Amino acid sequence: MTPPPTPPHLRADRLWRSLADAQDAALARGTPPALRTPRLRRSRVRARRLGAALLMAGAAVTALVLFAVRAPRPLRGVGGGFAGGVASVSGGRDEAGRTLVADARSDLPLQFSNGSSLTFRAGSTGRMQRLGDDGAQVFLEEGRLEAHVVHTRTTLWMVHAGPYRVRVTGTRFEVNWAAARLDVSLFEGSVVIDGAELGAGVPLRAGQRLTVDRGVVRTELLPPGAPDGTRDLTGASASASEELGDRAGARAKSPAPSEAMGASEAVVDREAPAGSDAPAGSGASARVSGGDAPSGAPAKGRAVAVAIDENEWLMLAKQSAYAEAFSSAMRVGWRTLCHRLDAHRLLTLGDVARYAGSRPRAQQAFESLVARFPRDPLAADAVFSLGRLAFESDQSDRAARWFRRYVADWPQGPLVDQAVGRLVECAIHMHDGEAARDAARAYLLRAPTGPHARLARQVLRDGAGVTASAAPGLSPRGSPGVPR
Amino acid sequence: MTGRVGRTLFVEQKGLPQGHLQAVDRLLRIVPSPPPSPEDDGQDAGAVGTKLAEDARLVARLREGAPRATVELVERHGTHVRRVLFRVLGSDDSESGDLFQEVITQAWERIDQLSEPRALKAWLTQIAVFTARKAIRRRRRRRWLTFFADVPEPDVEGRWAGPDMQEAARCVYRILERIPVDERIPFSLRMLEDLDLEATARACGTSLATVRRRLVKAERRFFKMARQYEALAPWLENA
Repeated sequence: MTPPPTPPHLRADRLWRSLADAQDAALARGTPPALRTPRLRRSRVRARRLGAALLMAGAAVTALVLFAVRAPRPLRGVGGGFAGGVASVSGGRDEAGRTLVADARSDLPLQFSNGSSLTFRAGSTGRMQRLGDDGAQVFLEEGRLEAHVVHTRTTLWMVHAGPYRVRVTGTRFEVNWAAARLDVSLFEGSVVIDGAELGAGVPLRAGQRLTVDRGVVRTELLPPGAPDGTRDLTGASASASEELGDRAGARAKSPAPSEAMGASEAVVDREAPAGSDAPAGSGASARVSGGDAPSGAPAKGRAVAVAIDENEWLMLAKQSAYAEAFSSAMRVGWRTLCHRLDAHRLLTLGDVARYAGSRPRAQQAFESLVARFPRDPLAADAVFSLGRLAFESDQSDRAARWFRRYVADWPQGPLVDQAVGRLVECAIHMHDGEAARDAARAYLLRAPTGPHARLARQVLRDGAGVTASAAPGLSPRGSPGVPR
Repeated sequence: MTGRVGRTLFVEQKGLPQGHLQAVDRLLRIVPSPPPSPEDDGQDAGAVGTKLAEDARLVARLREGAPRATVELVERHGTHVRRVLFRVLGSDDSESGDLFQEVITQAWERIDQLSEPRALKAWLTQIAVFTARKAIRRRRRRRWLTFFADVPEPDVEGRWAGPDMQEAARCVYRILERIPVDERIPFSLRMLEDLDLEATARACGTSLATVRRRLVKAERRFFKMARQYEALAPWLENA
């Protein structure tokens, strides 16, 4: 028979009491007490194991790189709005025909494997009609589209706006289509615009602008100092919003994430004196060295370097280099940023992760915003984004909860129409006919001509038999606007 | 292994002499607390009842998706959730901030699964415990994968208690790190959060018998290792 256990001979009541009291006091102070994250020291034996592991990892990376180099590279979506569904997008051509909806809050950038990029500005609606090895066809239904096309002799890019067609023969331009008015500004290269009263086509050269308004065609030079398509997102988004009427007000209520970027620059300028050890080549360091900081001011050493590194991702995000921005943020420490950034930057951080294709990190950033700043107006955007992420992950039930929360907590929010529209989609995916009809009715009351109106009417007409493919906004397996 | 199982069976099924078991229970503070006096009961019943009713109303609002219900949830129970995480994990660093978010998000998403709205706080405790458990397991996996050994170094910043207490806390959680997670959690809740046996079992999602068995084992492990830490010596007393 096993002997009975030896009863404990020690007690530590005082320890437990004191420790609990100290913890309570720390929590009451509101300062996040940290029980020192132990620093790590390597033992020799383990170093050898680590070396072996690194060797294996290096071999694996080399094999992957070789495989990637050898693999054929058809034109496909690789970043921005495509990123959330890279796996589903890799097939490229299957994406045709689905509607892209850029939120009223933010731009929807799409990046392609050949280096081209299209950005649907805030509040714009469009459709990717075709995407193949030889180019793409995009329909701009309303709003503003900025394009930077890497043109070759074997590719043909086409942008349709109403009855007009912009044939891209290279390279950087902006199309605005709203209220039957076409406005094309060409910054680099050349395009040919045809359709309706333009007949066989009007060629446009760099620095020119073409407008067609109620049958009147006008070609003019771009005014000096006109925005050239590389300006920061704030200006572009704001101007797009101005032309989109009601949505402008919505945007004003909810500041764009890029507004935070300006603030971040200020921080860098202030904290980083010339000659500091900023990482070479980063936007932050370039700006710092040419900034207003007094030359020869004493460097703040490590703290300054950290400040610069921490803002590098913002600078990269501002340049739409989302993958690089994401990597930079990861280097700083995602969790650190989630706990340190203000609401504006957290929103930007979430968008960076989303566009870089990391849903879990995006979710982390958005959830952090909601938890840390529940009363901030930007929490509304984060809640909406969480709904969208859940939907993209095939979690319609979860998505519906986020969208419902948005509608409940911010009934006057700028994205409330879209939230209701997406509730219709969620209900369809969950095969919940009653909920779909309720949401459809609500949507039509709010936005009878909105992007989900057709779907909503279809739901009310055909009941629950409507398939999700009729939905304009999201594909649960894809990313925003990416066709399945 | 066999011996340990055998001893466990002895405690659980065959039973120790009643007095011996009670002694162990007393040391572990797992004897149910005496019922409150009628006066206390009368004083507290109203306040407790009001709080429970408010919790039930909050649950209803969360289920309806009422505006600001989630904010109210955080304001009402956020501190409690943070405290449970702090007790179990030993730090309120950035990771436990993430975990706090996770707890609140899970609670919000699963509010329909809460069968007894008046038990909101206990339910949140349970979610916090499960979240902390996942985090501990994740940490352990990560540590194993890094091939590194962690070596304690003196803490120089972020002090949240006096030096003695800070050092003792560090030792306590170093020991807890080496105790199996299913034993560590009830032990932390019992000793630090001062939950009674039933509440500890409920929070851990186990039976009373299981939680008692785990407490006994955790307690034994803890004091065996505590002897090795000089900094804990002033805090340990002979039973």
